Amino acid sequence: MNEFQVMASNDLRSGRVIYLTANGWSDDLHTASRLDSETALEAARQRAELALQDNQVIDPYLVQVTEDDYQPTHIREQIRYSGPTCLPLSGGTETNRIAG
Amino acid sequence: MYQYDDYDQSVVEARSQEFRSQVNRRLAGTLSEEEFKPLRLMNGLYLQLHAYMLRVAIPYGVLSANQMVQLAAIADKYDRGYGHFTTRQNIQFNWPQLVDTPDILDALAEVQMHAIQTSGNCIRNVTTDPFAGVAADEIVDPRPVCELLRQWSTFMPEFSFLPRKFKFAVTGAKTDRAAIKFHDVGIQLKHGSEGQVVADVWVGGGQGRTPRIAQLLKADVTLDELLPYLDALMRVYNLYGNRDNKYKARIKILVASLGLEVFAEKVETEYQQTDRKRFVGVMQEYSRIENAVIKPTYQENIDDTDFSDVIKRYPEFNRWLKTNVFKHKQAGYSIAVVSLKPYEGIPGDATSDQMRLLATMSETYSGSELRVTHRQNIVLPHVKTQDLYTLWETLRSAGLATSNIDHPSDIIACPGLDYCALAKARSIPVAQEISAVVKKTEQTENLNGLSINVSGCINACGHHHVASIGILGLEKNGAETYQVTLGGRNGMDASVGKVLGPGLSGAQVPGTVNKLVDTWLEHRNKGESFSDTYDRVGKKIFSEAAYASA
Repeated sequence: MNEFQVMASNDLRSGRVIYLTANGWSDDLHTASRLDSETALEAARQRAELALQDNQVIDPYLVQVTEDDYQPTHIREQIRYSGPTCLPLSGGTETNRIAG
Repeated sequence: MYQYDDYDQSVVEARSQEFRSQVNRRLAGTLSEEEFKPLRLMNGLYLQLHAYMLRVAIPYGVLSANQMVQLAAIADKYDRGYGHFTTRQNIQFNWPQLVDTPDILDALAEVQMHAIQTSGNCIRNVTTDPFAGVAADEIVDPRPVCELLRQWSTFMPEFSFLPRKFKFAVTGAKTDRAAIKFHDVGIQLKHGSEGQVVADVWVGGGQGRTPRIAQLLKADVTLDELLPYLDALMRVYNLYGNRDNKYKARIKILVASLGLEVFAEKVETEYQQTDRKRFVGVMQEYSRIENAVIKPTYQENIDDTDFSDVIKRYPEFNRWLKTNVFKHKQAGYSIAVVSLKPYEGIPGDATSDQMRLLATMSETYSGSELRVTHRQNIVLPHVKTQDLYTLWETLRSAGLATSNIDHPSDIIACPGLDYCALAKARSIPVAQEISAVVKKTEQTENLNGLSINVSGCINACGHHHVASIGILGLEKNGAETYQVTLGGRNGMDASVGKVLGPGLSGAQVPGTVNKLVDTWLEHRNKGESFSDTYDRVGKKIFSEAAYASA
């Protein structure tokens, strides 16, 4: 399966998870810049560093994403993007089930 | 509960103002993240997987009705309408924005609350018996000692940069409901030979990657000497604790490496040299605190309550009475525990509506007081026994009458990979599925004596080491895997659970737990706990059952 990377971070003011896009930062992973070359990676690192210095973001790092479904490859990053897999309310039976 | 005086109030208000200034400087860029991080952590503000997380201190787990109402208001205004009660008797909000946190701290200060020392390498929120002051088996009310510890440790410069975080737990009852043997320091209050209050000081307990059971460091410390002795203990830890490797920095490692005897000698030497002038007035303060702890006025000579007719109509109420109601020291009164573990629910979560209902229930039935338990439930400590049915009916209508306290579905679970930046695997969905599979057995068999705890990483925030059945989430080859431990206990007979066998997938865990429960039912003697059965019959029987077709 083909994979590439995106630059993920947290917005300083809100803390929400954001991804580096061609025009800035977005909470939509699907709009994230596709980093599939050393040149693209280096440019993304430089933009992330500038955003850090400019107090826009915290703790940027690269995340591996699959080509086919544009989802992070690691479960941690999948949950970080999609949100908690449990309902954030007490009770109910509509809980997401754990994949085998 | 303890009432703030003007000094206490001014402290939390000043702290809130200070943090507002720090946040403003961070947003303006005059503080870097590197500079700001330790400041936000000292105010309980973490950056977690999805967002910031604010951990609010609930000193020794005691809450007033108006504090609970304020927590609900904060959940609605600044978060997503719910809060998560933790094993340190605190509450966490999972979605606050940095820009709002100064306003949240102001809102907390309005009701004498704060987030001070809920993070960082300092003395954290002191925990205690959630039945403090009301338990029928209580010898000494631990709350004044807890408050004394809170005042001594708050903003104490010498103990603000310890080798690692430091946790105290205090109990004053025959039954240990505070897990004191799994704390850095556990304090057991009792009466000395002349009837005076004395403390046994236990040291070096803890969970995490190196679980240790605390050892008795010094017995019968008199109250006036307790703070000087603990001060000396902290100085020895501060001096000799490992600062090079955070995994070896807790006091349990120091005690284990030096040996209890050597550690005790060092504390004793420091203790003898301690400047007592710093502790002049401690006993007067203890007396002031005792008087500042507002105690409810109990009605005398309440008639015995006969629930026999109600029980016939509502067998669920009878079950709730048996599982969620505990003996009070005052005749005619009961301790009611409200479960935050609905079947398939999220352990420890409460919606803002539920928080407000609990506040109303405490005002109506419990002297406007609530307690948070380290098992992530809520206690109404002063309920007239004759009010229990009405209380249960109201709780039931709000989905808060699950009858499972100290039963398998009363699961402790850390936030796990659904929220926590450190977690390796999910805890909450595992707990939800376990509670779904044990529900049926739990309602037909007496499963008291079997606890299940789930942690999402080796840090063991879900207390898996001390459960009858512990579940530890790990990562293997990029996937979640779960290790099962059996035979843990967290009372005075403390024990650390032992690994059962190879790791399981998340989907295998609930079925395996079911098999372990069935194995216990098959082999237990009358009145025997799961861990006692495990110790008696051995691992093999449970292992064979668990892995029969897994």
